Amino acid sequence: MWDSLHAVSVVFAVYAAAVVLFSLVFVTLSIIQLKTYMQVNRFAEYKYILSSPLAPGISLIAPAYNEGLTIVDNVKSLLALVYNNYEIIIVNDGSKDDTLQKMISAFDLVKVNFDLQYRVQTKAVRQVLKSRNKAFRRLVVIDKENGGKADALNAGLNLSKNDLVACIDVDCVIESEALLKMVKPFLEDSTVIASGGVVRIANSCRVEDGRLIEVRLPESNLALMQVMEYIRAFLIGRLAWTKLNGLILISGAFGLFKREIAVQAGGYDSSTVGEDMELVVRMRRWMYEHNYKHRVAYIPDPLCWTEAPSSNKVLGRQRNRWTRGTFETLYTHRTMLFNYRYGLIGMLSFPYWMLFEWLAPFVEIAGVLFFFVLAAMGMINWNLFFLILACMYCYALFLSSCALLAEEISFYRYTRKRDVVKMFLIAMVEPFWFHPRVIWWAIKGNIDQLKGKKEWGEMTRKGFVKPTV
Amino acid sequence: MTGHPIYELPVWIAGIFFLACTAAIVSFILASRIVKSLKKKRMDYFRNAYSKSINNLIMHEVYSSSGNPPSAQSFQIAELKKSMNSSSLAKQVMVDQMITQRENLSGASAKVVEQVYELLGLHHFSLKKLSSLNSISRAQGVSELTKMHCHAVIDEIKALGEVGNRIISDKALIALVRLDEKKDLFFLDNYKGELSKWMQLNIYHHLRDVHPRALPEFSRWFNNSNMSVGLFAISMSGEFKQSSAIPALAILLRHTDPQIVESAIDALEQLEAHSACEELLALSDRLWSSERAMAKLVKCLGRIVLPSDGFRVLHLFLNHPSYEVRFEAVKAICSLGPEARETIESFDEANGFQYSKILLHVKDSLLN
Repeated sequence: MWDSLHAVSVVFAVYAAAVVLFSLVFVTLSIIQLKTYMQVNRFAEYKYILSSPLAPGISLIAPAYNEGLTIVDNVKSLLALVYNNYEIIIVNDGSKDDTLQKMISAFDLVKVNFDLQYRVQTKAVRQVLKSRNKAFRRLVVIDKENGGKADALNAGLNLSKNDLVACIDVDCVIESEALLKMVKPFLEDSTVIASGGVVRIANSCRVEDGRLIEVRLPESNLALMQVMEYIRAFLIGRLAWTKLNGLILISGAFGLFKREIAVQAGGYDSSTVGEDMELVVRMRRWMYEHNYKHRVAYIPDPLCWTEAPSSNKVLGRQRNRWTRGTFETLYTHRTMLFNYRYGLIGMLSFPYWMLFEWLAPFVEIAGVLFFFVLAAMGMINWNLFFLILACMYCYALFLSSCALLAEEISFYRYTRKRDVVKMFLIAMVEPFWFHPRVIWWAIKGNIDQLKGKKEWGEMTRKGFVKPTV
Repeated sequence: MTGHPIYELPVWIAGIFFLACTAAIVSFILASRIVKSLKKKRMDYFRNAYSKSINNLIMHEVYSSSGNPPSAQSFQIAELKKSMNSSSLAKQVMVDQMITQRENLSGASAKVVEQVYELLGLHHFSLKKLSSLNSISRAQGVSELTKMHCHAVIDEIKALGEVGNRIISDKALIALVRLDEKKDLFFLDNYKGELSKWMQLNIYHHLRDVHPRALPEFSRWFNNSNMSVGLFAISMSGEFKQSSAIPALAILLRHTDPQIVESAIDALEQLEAHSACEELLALSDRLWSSERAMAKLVKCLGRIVLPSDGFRVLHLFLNHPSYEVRFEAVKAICSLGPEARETIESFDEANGFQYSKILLHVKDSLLN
């Protein structure tokens, strides 16, 4: 009995040590990658891209479902992006509200005879519309039957003719130079098949005409926790994976892909709720299976600002969906796991995601239960217990402070001194207040997955802060 | 579970390590905020102090009919030099302001900015950066000297083009394109590594302001051992409409590498090289299975073929298995004029209206 309990505790200790070790490696790699990025791009003349015939064309695909309240402003903000050769494809995914009517009247849209080819299967497209007003010549609207976000993105892929496609969330605020920055990795390296950008939280930020005017930390504590979490995930995790060329997730809010490869790989999978991660994995898998050298790039610049859920209910739904999406992707591509044919993805990224992303909540819950069992049996060395607890708390603080450091030495968007203090205080509270909820939502997501739940879950938003008149 | 020191010691070490690192990082961030805000204040101060003086100096030089008296200019220069004293930050603010001015001006006014930059001795400040150990500082020096058109430093920059650090060498090569008045792009002869699209784009940006006659003959690099250089040269010959490159491009159509062939097709299309029509047509058998290359070929033929001969040449591609190729063929035929349009409509009718949707698409004015 004693031996088996000891063995279990060793397993937990090894797991924890592995998590800490990976984090330390990731912090180091991400700081190196961030420094390199800052150095290389410090003197980059992005404006040269604007006037160059060598710059690739980009199709921005934005699915819209019941976005009637904000769609016109959102499209106007996309029309104001700085890039020369781009088109905006808004896919009205069978909205039940007045999304389409609002666009028709605001942009003077009429039906065109677009001969659409279904290279990727989607729900039926009812019509394709374009504006009679030359000022909106970049805009194309697809009106189709409801099929979900992935299906809508696939319809956009079918219509697009440009070399690159940017898949975005229509309600995000995209920085005006985002396309210039996102396209650069494709220009620097012909093997790049996709690039992702950092997504930041815009709650309490001042947004005017779809443009970010002032960056502020959110007022709600829940959103503040997510700011910390996003900085950590984007500036530490994803940058480190980019350095290793092992990135398998580009946020669905803003990603740029080589169209032909996305189409060849089969486009987005409409049956999953984690279509963003699934597409990157499938594109990479396709590249490996065809023996093509490739890279997925990642831009640490904050290029896309989104409204984070500010209620537990909505955040819970989002995290539930993320968990199911991760599981579905890992399960669909399980043959890649520990398969040397898929290089670093098969041997490191996939195992990491399986063990330390998907499995982590289960391990944490199991650890807590194990602790209670030991406590009930009077087998806890309380000195050691509190020592480990304090050590792990310090580790959590260290990780968050590294993320803050990365932000400080790079983009420095939260400029006030009190912002740093506020963020550090949040980092101190987060392990007790926010982390347990994230774990619970993840567990719940897995249970829902077992039950066969496939819904997205309704995401209600409050809207951005508008300037006072 | 036992309180053996063997368990406790590593935990203690790890805990102290994380705590110490956290404290150090947080202190660093707070200190960095203070330094940044102080620096910003000083920079704002310098900016306010200099902007008026620089503007005065430039405006007087440009607009005074008889020119500013040399003594007045010398006085202003001396005053500015004195105020900068030996502060690197002040000099940097001044350099940044002059670069902004230079980029917003052209002609005589721009020349005046360049002169003032030299009179203030700021070129020495930028030049000093070239020998710095810090690669960013060196790249910054190159960037400043280039933007201020300091032709005298070409040799120093040339030397930097061969250093191992990619950031500096790329920056130096772009600077050479900008500063070298001969614009012979000599460095392409021995360029090692891939000439990325980003580099190509930067080079193109500086070449497009040059008079076409001053540009080198890009065909000399068509067969360069570095394929990226060859591809760049091919695309530039098309961009700059170097008709003299047509025979060499036609020869490239026989190249074994599909990238070279596709690039040559693009260039011939841009050059509207009617003389290469037969060579292009002869390619169709070889490229038939490549959708991308065929679509390019059809597009190119549509642009260069004679309207009277267009349908005969292009109708072969209407049976291609790829939709993209068929679409390009219909589009190309329709662009040849009303006669060709009528012919394709009759052809469509005779073939069970299989091209009707494409025809509708092509004819829709909002889609073209």
